[in-house]
Amino acid sequence: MPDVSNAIFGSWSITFGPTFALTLTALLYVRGWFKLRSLAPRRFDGWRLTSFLGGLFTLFIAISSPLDSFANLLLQVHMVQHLLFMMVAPPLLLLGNPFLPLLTGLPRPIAREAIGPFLAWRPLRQLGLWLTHPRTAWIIFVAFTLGWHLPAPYELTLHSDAWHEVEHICFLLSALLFWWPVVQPWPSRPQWPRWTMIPYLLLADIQNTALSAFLSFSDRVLYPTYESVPHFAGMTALNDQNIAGAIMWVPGSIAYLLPAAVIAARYLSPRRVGMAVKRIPHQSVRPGIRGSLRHRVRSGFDLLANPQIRRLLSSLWLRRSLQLATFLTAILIVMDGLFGPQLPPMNAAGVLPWTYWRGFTVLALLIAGNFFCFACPFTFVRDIGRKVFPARWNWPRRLRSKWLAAGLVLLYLWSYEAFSLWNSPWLTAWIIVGYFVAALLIDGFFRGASFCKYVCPIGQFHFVQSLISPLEVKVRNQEICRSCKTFDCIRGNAEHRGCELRLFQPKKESNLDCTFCLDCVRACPHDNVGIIATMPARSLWIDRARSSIGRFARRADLAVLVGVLVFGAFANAAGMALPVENFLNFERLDFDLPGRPFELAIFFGLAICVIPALLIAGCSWMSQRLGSVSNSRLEMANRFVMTLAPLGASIWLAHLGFHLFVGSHTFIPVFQRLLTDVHFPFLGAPAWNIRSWAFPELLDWEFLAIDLGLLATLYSMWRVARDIGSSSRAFPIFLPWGIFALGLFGLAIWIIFQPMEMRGTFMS
Amino acid sequence: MRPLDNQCLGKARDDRNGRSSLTHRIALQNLNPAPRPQGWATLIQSLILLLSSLGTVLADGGAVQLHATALPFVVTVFTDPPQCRAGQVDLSALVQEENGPVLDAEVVASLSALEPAKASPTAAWLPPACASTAVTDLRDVPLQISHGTNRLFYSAEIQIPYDGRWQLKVSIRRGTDHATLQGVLDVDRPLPPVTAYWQWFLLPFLAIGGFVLQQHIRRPRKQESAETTARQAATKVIGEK
Repeated sequence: MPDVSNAIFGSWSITFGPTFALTLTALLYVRGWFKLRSLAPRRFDGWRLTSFLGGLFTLFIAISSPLDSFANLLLQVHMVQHLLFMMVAPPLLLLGNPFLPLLTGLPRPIAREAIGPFLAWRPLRQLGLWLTHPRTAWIIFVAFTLGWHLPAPYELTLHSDAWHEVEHICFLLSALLFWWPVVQPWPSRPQWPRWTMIPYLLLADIQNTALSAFLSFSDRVLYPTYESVPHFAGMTALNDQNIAGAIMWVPGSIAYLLPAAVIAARYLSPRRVGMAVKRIPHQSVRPGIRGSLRHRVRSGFDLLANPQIRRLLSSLWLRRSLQLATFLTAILIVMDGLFGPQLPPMNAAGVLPWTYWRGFTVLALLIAGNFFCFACPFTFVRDIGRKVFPARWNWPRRLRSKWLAAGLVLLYLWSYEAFSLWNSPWLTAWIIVGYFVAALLIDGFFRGASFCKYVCPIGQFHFVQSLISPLEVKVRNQEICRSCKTFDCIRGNAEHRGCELRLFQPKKESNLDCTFCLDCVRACPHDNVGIIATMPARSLWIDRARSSIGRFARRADLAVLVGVLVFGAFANAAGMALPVENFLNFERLDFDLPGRPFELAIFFGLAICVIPALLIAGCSWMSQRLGSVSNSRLEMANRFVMTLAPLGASIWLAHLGFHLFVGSHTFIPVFQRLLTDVHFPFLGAPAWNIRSWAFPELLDWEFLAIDLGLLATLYSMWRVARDIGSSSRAFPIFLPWGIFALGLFGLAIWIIFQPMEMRGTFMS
Repeated sequence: MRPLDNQCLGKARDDRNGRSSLTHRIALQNLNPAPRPQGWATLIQSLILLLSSLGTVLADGGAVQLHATALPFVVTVFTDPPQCRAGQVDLSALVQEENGPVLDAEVVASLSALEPAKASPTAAWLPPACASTAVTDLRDVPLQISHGTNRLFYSAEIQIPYDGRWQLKVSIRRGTDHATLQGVLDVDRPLPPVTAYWQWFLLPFLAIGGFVLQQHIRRPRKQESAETTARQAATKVIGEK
């Protein structure tokens, strides 16, 4: 028989949201603590770190451990949970002096631009002082403690998860306020003399004693819910309540009396005066460290700063190995697509490109950067082909734009739906073969990376989405580039080739057109190119002349490409939604159209080209009129369309991430089948009935992605509006575009709520 | 506590000593007979119920829907969300005997509609990711301990297709012990899907509000610093003269 105690102690309820929030807080604190420790080691010694992390761990235990699973069955367990929220976690958190480490741990622009003004805002500071005043803090704490333990509110929390969470938040926040004057975390200043904390704590203990005595000695059950739920080991609800009172009384009182005793002892100690004299000097920064720290922070995170990582990432050997691996995978996909079963979930060509590659690529783009182009199998074939083909012509001047690429992206989006590419391993295989041939021929006859820069639709997708990537290939120090005479990063040298996409590093801004090949890193004789952290989407509102790209305002082709990818994201996701599928069934309307491809051509033409073009033209016109600016409507449209890229990326992420999670395990039976087909069945027979990583909160993550995409788009629009007009005219310029972005957000929400066609999996 | 308003038949057999089967009439407490809101009131009531599901008793597995003794077991059936609604429902059962919780039984639940589906029943909405994993066949759904967070409970995620009165039948089998209990589950109309994700619609507007406030705070500081700079420049010019 299974052990009951094992079952009880195994009843953890680890939910992603709170665990993520606690982990993020811990990471921010640790990051800030390390920075501050080098500046003020005595203020931020090891036990502060331990204390803060201990406080977070206590919160994790209170939220996720079996305490939470049994809190609604046993009052005594619930009481322990409350004690952790009110008596243990808050003082531990405050002992970590959390204010500065958390602030320092944040990225500098967020701390300075987003939070800084609020911290310096006088009404907020006054509110903070008022809330942390001992009198206010004590009253709030006691009011919440007593109020939530009254039968009616307590019963409410037992009847509703939401109110239960509100209660816990009230307990935690009021306890943080209560313990603030007791702990007095640095750099806050005490508002009352230290000795007053002794009656402060004793008075709190009196109310705690009164409440717990009432629970302990009451002869009736105060919270009827506990009578209704199942009981364990013959324990009645009244026994349970009495024990809960005892728990509140004894450990609760210790939590008040112990710090009161410590404060009293320190106050009465003869060394107190000496301790006051030994206060930590205000300027305890080690000379020399501040300067080096400032330099380090200013230069930001550089992935290539570590010599080993630099050597590894910039080695041609690694790139060729990865390219070879992706090339062999592509060959496998082609072979299986041509000769394997034509049911997509059973075929590598149905699973690997459509479920995995797309999902992982978009995740990698938004988490790191354009690392797929780094390992591109098509450039691998191209580089081999160059040993045979001459590559002596320049790419035609008329085609040196993104028009062709935008058209090809549009063609891909249409053909994906029109010919159900995801549903045809055979077609998928031929597309890959066609891709290899195109890359080989174009780059075999034309100089540079013409295929990547002007043709490849996949590359364009990566370029546009990597505008929001947090990492960028760029120079470390512009001063070094100013003194450079050789320009190896673009021209190359005897050992290494320069940038084939003609991106001159000192004038490169953003990841646009950058394939992360790292040729520039290898070629630079000054070791002045790194993969450096950048603020995502920052380049969208900057409109200076960029190397090989120019200004966004003058690149209508680029704006069209971004527009196709943004509105294509909506059309592609909507194509899966059943109401859209039904709507596209034009036959019932008796239009006498030639067939589905034609119907879809109309749909995509309207959804990606005509309607967006009209709306963008309208926004541009309104923006110009409202803002009374002299910029042409086309220039404004070009700049504002670029700012839609984050919203489009979030739709791609939500859509392709959904496929990735729902079909997360589909490769297992496919590989089992492949091995069985080649008479090597060591993984066993294919297990087609396989689970997935799809979890109910997946939709929450999709919404979060879209929220962040919307906010990044709105902020970029605001910055562009400020750049175009003066600060007083920025809002009228921004307004039509902001409404447009909110409309797109609403459309994205509508799409997500629709019933979806489960493509490429057996789960449909 | 609401008065007992539902009498159901439960069966229990004890064949351990070769005795004949025993049938008990068991009073089942159906603690969740929520009234069904109509029309626009649904939305308003749904919003209120989102924060407060009064009239239910919440335990870890959700709200207690049935509690009965079917010898040798004492069975408590919970649903989460507490206000049982069409759509995805976490159905769980705590099986106890004299010595404590029973963890090695086979527990199977079945749901069948007591009323035929209406002409246009309010269909339940499921997140697309869940649509592929939730149990849609409500006959003989195995409840398993590994599915829930509380490892004393047998549970399963089920999808109740539409609102109405549903008969819930739970069978427990352990060795030769076998018990069956039945009860009526009042399933309310599903909440609009938007209400389950309201925080994500609020987030952008909160962020926009915060940004507007931040700009408002920064403006006087900017003006102040501009004025200070101008004053300093003027002082310098006057000084030079």
